[in-house]
Amino acid sequence: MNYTAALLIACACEALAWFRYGDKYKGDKFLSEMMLPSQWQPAAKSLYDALRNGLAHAFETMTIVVGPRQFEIGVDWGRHAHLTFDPTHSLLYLNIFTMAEDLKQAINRYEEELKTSGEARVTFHETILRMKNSFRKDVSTNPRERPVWEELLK
Amino acid sequence: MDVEYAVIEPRFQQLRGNVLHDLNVLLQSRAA
Repeated sequence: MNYTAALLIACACEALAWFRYGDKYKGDKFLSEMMLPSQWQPAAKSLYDALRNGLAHAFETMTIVVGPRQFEIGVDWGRHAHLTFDPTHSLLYLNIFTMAEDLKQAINRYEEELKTSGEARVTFHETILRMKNSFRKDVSTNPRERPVWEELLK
Repeated sequence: MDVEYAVIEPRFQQLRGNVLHDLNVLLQSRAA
């Protein structure tokens, strides 16, 4: 449970980014522009990768290394303020409640953007159209799996 | 090309609804 909400928020950033920017794998950009204070924005990519890729691939956050220093991400449920660093334990805390609220506000702001910006609506719409053609798993030309699926679906 | 908000609104609300529903379930289960 500790990590599930953090992974959901990271994946939501990626999905929202696809619609907002028209490109896949831009979750760090959405996090940076919509959910981080300005001084953290230049660090968004490494922070996002350590969180999202770590949880998605190993269900464990990745260690962040900065020259001779290294630290872990502490997914926190209310005991520590968001984006505070504990040098004693080498932990950067991400407060899930703050992130959840930030995400909700980001979604609300994005909705306003879609209502007021024709360009934002076009990007969103083009993503929907592209997804229709590309967001699928086609095994039609896979000689090993196609007959397996055909048998399973009988 | 102009796209009315009404055209994309269902997909946007679907995404928002799915994300926030699951997020709220996780937050509430932790609080319980």
